[in-house]
Amino acid sequence: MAHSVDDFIAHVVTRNPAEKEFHQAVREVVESIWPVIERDPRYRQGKILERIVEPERVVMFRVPWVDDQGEIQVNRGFRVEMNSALGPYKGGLRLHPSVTLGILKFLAFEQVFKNSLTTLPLGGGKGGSDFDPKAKSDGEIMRFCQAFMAELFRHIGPNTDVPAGDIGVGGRELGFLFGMYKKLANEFTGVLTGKGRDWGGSRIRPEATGYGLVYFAAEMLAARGDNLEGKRVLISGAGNVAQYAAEKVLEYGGKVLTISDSNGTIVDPQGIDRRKLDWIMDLKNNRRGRIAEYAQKFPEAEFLEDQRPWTVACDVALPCATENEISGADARALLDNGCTCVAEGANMPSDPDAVNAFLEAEILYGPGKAANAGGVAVSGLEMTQNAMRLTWTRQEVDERLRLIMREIHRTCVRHGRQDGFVNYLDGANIAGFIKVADAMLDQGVV
Amino acid sequence: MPVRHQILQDRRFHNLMPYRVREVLLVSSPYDAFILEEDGQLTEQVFFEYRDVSLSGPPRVTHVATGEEALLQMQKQRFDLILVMASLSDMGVNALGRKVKELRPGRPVVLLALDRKELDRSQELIDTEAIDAVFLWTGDSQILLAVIKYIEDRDNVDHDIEHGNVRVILMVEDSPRFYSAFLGLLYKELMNQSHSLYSEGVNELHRRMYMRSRPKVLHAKSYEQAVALFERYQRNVTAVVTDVRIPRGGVLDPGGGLAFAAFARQYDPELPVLLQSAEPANAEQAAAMDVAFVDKNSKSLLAEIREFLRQSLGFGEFVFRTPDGEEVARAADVRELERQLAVVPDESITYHAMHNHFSLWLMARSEFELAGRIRPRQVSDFPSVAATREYLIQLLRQTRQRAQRGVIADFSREQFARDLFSRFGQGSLGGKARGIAFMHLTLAGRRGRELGELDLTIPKTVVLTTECFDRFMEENQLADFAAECEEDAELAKRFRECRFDDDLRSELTFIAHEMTGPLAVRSSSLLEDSLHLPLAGIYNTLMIPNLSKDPEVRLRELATAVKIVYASTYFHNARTYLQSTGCRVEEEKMAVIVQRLVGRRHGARYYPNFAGVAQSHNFYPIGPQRAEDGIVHVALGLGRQVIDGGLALRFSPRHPGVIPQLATPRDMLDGTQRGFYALDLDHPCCADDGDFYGNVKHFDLEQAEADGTLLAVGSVFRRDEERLRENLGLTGPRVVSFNNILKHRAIPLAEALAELLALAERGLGCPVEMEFACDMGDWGRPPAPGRERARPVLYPLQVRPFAARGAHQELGQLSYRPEETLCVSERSLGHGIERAVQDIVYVRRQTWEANANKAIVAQIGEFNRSLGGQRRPYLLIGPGRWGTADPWLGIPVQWGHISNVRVIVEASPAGYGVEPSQGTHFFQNITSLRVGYLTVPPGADKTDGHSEFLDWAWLDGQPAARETRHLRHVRLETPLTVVLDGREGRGLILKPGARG
Repeated sequence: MAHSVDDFIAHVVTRNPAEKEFHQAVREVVESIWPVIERDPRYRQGKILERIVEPERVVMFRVPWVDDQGEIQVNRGFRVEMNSALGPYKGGLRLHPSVTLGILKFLAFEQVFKNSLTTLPLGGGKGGSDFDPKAKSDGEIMRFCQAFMAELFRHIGPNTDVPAGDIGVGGRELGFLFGMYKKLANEFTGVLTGKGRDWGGSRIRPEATGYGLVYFAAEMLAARGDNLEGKRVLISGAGNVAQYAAEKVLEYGGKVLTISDSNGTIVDPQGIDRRKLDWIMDLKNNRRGRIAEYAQKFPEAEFLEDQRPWTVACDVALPCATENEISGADARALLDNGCTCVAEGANMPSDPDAVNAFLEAEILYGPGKAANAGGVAVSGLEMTQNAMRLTWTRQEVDERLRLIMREIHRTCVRHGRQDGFVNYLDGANIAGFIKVADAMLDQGVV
Repeated sequence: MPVRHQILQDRRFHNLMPYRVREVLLVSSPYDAFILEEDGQLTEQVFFEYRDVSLSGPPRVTHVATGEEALLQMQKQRFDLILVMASLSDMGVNALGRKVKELRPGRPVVLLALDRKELDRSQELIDTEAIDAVFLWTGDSQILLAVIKYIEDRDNVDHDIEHGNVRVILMVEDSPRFYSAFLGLLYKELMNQSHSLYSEGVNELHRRMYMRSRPKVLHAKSYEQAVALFERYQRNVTAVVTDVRIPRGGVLDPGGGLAFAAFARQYDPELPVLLQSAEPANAEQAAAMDVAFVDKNSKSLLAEIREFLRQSLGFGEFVFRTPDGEEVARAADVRELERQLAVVPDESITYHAMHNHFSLWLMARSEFELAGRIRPRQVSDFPSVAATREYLIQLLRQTRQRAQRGVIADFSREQFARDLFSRFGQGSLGGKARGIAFMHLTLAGRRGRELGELDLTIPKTVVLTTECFDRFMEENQLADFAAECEEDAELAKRFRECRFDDDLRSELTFIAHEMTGPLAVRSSSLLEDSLHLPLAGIYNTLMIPNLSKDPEVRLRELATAVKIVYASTYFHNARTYLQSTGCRVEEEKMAVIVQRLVGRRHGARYYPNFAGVAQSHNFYPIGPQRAEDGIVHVALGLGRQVIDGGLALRFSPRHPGVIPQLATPRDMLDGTQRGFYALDLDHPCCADDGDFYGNVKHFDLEQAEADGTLLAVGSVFRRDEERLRENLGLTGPRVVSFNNILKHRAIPLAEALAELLALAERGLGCPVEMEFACDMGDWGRPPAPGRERARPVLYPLQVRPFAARGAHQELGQLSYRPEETLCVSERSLGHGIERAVQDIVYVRRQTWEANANKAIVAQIGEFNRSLGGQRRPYLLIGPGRWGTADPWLGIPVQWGHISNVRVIVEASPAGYGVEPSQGTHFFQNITSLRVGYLTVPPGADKTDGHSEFLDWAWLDGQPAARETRHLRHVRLETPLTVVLDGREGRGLILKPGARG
């Protein structure tokens, strides 16, 4: 057993050479949960770390297919079944030329803890191929997907491994994959998630992350005896997450002051109400215009060209745009302007300086891995609906999503409480790990 | 009319007469030559002979004096016919004939005897292996025409029967004296009759093309030869002309001709036969056989032969008669025949049908296919005379309709409704109109005008030729003013105030009235003819609603649009362009195309379902695309969306299901058009304020959905599935994906475009660019009650050469030292090495931002003017899509702003990943003027170690000759070296002094 994080990482590097993304992911997790390992001898005794970094199974296979010119093409397919302590392996399939075993192991490893945090019975995995769907015809995509599934089908199943979409795998690809699975397995089961709504897919998938984000923020506020009613909320981004987060904030009585895109931010001191939000949704979803047009449509608003929203006075900030969009300086500006709650809709939108600033200021800081888990949660709900052979209504799925986010919050609080302050970042990391680790201990050395 | 267009006039005739005598070698002693030429040069005689019978391309005659000279000359030059006179100083004619055949096997050698004595002498000694035929000089140069046509017919007859089912006149005559005279006569008469017949033709070209399909004349010298020829060509023999006394069984048979006539009549009792004889007594026997007879010694021989040909070959008017010979009607052309057929008495129809007169008459008009369909039908095949009548009328109608296809008709009010493409005036059509005419002819040459579910045709088009322009300029004395005035607005104002002459006004009124509905009024300039000068987008194209009930309003709209197009000849953009090509604006003339605008009315909007530009060469092939597969840019609505470089869908016609640049549904969502252009029928056209395009407006996609035009090309982005679905009933953002057409093949658009591009490329002999529009007809909806379902139609609007890129230079391996290199690109256009550029104008990346793009345009224009004045070509470097109409995507320069540029680099900062330039008009000029064009990936700075890069630091380190907030001009001591490899699409710019 290693005696330090570095020792352990050195051990991992030796066993998994040339997989630097995987090494990096392991380091981040291990550094975060090392205190837990140190204070609980069961984990050392059970060699949980050593086991948890080793995939339960890796399938690597040849995917031969015929292109439109009649030429045979050969790609490499993978499925990394990382951990099934909590449930069937669950994680996306990625089709991209950059896909390697190392990258998939890194993604599968992170997926284990992400899924664990949802509180749903989901293991972790990831798969895919170095196939590039770009510049391929529908026929080529179909033939590839069928060839890919011709091997994968024997390794997956509704109670074994339930892949989903990821980069390069959208509704079209999932359709082709599912069709081939169904033919080979001779059964219509929930073996994939992200399916078409008419053939087993779940409701509110596009809304899930945004809604879930606000549910999480509301839970954080509630933990302090507060709520979103009347809160001034800054939202960055104008995509799915931002739009549906804004929608939910309005439902909760909050006042959305900003929305942004790559050209800048609009600030509406009167708040973006339902009518204005509908206009934004039409602008971004249908007309695909630039957010600057908002200021022309609603003169009370101001357009801050090439600026992010973080200098505007607020109570709550929901970064939903992109990675590293909040710098240390932005974080300090937020804090100076009265922000008491930051919940991350995007993946890692706050850079390390910003995260430290939030933690030092002991405001409510909901890291992305917890706050934006709504998307994964709905995937889990799709499995449940498939298993029950039911299709829940929009309201039913939404309500279950809310409960899941509440549960995630509770779990974070349970594991992140430090002297009256809740460190949600630690809470999320530790909670995700402990749940898996405990299950592994319970299930013995397998 | 260039030959390439002419020959496409009618495929049937295009293919006829593949063998033409173009070069004649006359071998004769100087004395013989003197006799031949006493009336002038032989070449001239042939020329006049050809001209007299309206034949094109008279052959050239080269004269040599001896056999040796002839053989030497044949080694230097190709001759199609060797014409030999009997008295040669160095060798006999047989010897010469044999040597010619050795040297050029199969080349015809014809002996031309100068008098009967010589003829008789040579005939006894002639070697038929060496000499193909013997003719007697009759003192009339038409014998030369006869010799040439005789040789051509002999060699073409099999081919022309196979490809054109042409008719054959069989002449049986053993005497060279008679057949020499008679053939000359016969050919001249055939030519004249054919020519006069087609005065009803739609234009001069049409008439000439039909000349090729005149009957062939075959010559037999004996009964046996005649029988052999007849049996071989029996189905096509239309008339027999025979001497009564001809050799049979090796001896001269006094009744051989009669026997042959009887033989031929066994096959076809109606076959016209003309017996000729020097013995008038034979006339009785001819009458007994019911065949025509002429006395060889008759003074009216010519007139009699003419009448025989007219009657037997169906030349002249169709005279309807009753069986007793009474004339009941006449028809001068097919249309008239069709009309008369409906009204003449039953017995007349029966009479002519029974005697094959209809098929004969149609044959004379080269309607072989139609005649061939009528000929085998017997009157008894029809249940009634009415049925026969109806059958004939239907067939004739088809003929008439076919005649409209692929024809450039001369403008005529009577035929206007019929003609799809017509020209007004005698001047040039101009380049653009030629392109349309070419597509029109090309489509007519296809087997059908459809491809699966898609019909292919051009919109109805009338061209006001450059003659109209000349008349307008002259009438209004505009030449000096136009040459001197440099203000576009002033030019337009003055031109608008001018008047058309009364004739033209009257015809414009007629055109506006006949072509009710929106019209496109396009420029078609004379200089566009040049392969290297496509003036795409340089001159104006306007659209007018043409819907007013007031004819004066319509005339005003049309006339104003034409005048503005005329004025645009002298606009700044055009002048600048012409100057850069070394042409003078004074040389330019403008034809105008008035074309029905493809589309449908939706309230106050008028637009096609979609339109675009197809190019036969793809400068940016991605994924499975290959450069030679071509590329298409297509957009819903008017083509302006594409032409101006707006967001349009780009696909390879060979791989329509793959849109590599928009690989994911989200890419599609972000990278496809959000609005479309349509003609606003409520907006006044050709506004006084100089905004001539104000009536072409941009609308949101939801308008297209409401109009029903999104149905064929739209998809819905489904967020929950991350996919597109072709079901507008679903909620979600609308995407102009063209999936229904490109992926699900609702219509074979890609196949049609690929075929049209291939045809156009083959026809023009170089890469081509074609604008097109499509009307989906009643696709996806039920037709209006009581109306036939309208099929989708693809309209090629214009086609032009996509200038060749001078890909002759061998560049070898491109090697370079990075430190000596300013730019490396893997996506470059152009080919060759350029060492004339010492000036660089670039957009400063430190201060650049997309919202400054509009402002930068004017500054670039100013730099351009200044450098142009100093005759200094320059290198231009900047971000985004050059020449786009959307200032967010790049710097929206027009050609006039950068007319002195020699090389352009498209280099964007990181994160400004705009699709490569594709504003096609702009690009058209870039490529046709051989401007080098290099693209480097966004953010590819040399310091980043990219394989493709631009050395920004070096640029910034050079002293500025001039600097503004956004632009910097650097002048180098010595030139840059620009190396472009067009085959690989790679380009390098080496710094001054580089050794690479």
